Amino acid sequence: MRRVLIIVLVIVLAIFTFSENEVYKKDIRNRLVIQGIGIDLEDDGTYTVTLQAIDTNSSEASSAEGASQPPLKTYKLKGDTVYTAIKTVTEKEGKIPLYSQNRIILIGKSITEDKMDDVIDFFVRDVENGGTVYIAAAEKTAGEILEAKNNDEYISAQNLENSIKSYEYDAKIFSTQLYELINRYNSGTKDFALPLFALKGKDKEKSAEITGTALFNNTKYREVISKDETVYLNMLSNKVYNTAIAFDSGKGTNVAINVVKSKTSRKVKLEKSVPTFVISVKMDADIAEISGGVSSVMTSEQIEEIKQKGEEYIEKKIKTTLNSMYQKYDSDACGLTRLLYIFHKDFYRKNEKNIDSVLKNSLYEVDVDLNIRRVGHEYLS
Amino acid sequence: MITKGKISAFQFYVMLFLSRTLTTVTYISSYTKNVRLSDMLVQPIFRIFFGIIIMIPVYVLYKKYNDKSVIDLARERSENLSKIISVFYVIAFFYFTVVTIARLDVFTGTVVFPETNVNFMLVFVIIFCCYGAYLGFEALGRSSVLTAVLVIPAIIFILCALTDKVDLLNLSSVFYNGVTPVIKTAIDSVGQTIEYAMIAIALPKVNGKLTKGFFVWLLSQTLLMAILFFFAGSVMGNFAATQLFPFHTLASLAEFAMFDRLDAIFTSVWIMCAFIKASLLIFLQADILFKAFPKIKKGSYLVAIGTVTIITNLVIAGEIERFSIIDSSIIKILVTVITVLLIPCILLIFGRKRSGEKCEES
Repeated sequence: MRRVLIIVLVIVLAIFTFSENEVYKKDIRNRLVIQGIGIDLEDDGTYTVTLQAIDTNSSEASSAEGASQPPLKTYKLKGDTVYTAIKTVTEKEGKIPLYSQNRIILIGKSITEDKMDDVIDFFVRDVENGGTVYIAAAEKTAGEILEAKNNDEYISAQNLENSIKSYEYDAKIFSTQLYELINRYNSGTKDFALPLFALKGKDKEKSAEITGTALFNNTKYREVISKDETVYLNMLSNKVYNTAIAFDSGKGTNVAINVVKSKTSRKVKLEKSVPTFVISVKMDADIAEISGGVSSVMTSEQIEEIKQKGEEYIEKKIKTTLNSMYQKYDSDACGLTRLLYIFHKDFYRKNEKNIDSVLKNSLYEVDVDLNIRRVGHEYLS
Repeated sequence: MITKGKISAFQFYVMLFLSRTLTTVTYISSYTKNVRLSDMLVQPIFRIFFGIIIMIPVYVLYKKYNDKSVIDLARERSENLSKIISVFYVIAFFYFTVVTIARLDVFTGTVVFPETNVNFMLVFVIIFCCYGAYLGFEALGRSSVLTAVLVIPAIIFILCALTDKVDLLNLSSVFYNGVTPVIKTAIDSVGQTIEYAMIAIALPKVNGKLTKGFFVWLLSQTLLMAILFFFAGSVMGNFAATQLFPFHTLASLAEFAMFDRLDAIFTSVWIMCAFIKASLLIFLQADILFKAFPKIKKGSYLVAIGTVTIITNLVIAGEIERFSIIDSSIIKILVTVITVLLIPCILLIFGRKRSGEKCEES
């Protein structure tokens, strides 16, 4: 038996090694390693897909020169669908696109306004597209950002991804990965938020910056909120890991705190068919700065006063953000509908079709508990 | 084929645990359309209930005629009956071998190497499984314990790496669409558990506390199932429903320090479990055939089973429609009910008659 098995294995190995197997055709040398995908809609209804990919032809030369990033190349492709557009790159480059290394999907304004539904399927259906890829909206076109250069180097998809990833250190940035977006897509309201990129600068000094967070209602772009408001959107979404908040101490000085931990609890109660959302935020923060000269020794009363002012300020800001989302732009970007769906399913089912007006007429109670953890180079008197 | 003594109950149930783990981690979300992932958290409770119910005839046989499998009991009654029953079990195990390899084909061809012909890999896997079966029950028992030492920490590692992505609001309230779809899914899940039939056949080859081991096995694999569904539901939410193999996608979302895309670990778990399951199924087929038709060598049976499995899987491979026909829940439930419930029940009735006859004779 063992001999038979060895003979069979040798034969199979021989066939495998010497045959024209597709595995070899898909060797990395024959693949175009995509780093970023930008999608825009043209007036004639076709899609323009801008690919940013690693230029493997010049990789050896550039790495020898000690380049800061791998050499990149962009392709502007047209097609009736996203997939057919991307496929045309094979004609141009003779390589098969490899999506698994893609860092960002950038959606142009022409798409975000009305056509999100038409472009998202490919990224879910194709197995090479991982669920962790970041999605962002472009202020104008996605193509102009992926093709923009700074000192003759492309603004890389890696840089764009890093900008989004900075949400871990600064809650002014909102991040959305593909799996989170699709989760929202299949959760009734189809409301979500995406970081918004805009192109700044001129000629050879261009840069791509996140200017705020784009809010969506039922997959359609509604409005952009500022980076300051994004902090509170992240707070409502329980996605604050670290951020700085400055407020008036009430004594003519500004206090800056560094939030090091934040936990948001969201509950809903239903009274006379009116939902009341109870939002409680508990956070730990360090005092990072107090304006108005060199600091003096702090007392417990002063810290308590700062804590109270901080809580009032954050509560007010959260309410303003809630107002922007639910009263002005009808966008449930922080997913409060989910609470109704889970805890009051009969009410949700009854009001599923007019959920925007339900949220608009709902009550919102906000409670912030700020714990001042450290005060810096200080000691208490 | 190497045939020596028995294995311990621990080794046996570890083997069955890995075998069932494969079915769990290869869960295909489209099979349970009306059932939400939150429901899949409570589904295991029903599953335990049905799992115990379905095993009652086998348990009664085991208590009454200790150390005898259903085929041994059939042989005592009638040689022809035992041959017919043997063929039933061989077909059942063959069918599940084909399904196991076919799932591996769909997984590899869809998720790991999309657009690539993976037929060579299938042939390799089946040959290795035949070799595993050739080494015998003891070797499989030992390698199962070693595999479990790798598989269980790997799963724990992946789940730990996902803890920061857990959001309980992604879970919906249980029984959102009523209780019936959940019960149906539990029945379907029991139907997919060919391990019950393996227990009915392999009992005489196992030493130790089988009943206690059965409950530990049932609870452990149900617990694993509940934990996996909890993470899938709370991390991915409705995204899971869009994925062919949600647990693989779940692993791909896991990140730990500088490591990401932990789906590679998941893939290795899958392949190790598939090897154990397919080897065990092939071993049992060859063993049953040899006992029913002893004129032919066991090795020849292994070669024949391997060849037929390769041909069948190559026919199925490459098309999702053919796979969905072969991977039918109804067929699986039918096979499990016949092998775990119907045949043991028949033997139980015949066995009682035989006891009566013996009493009269004495």
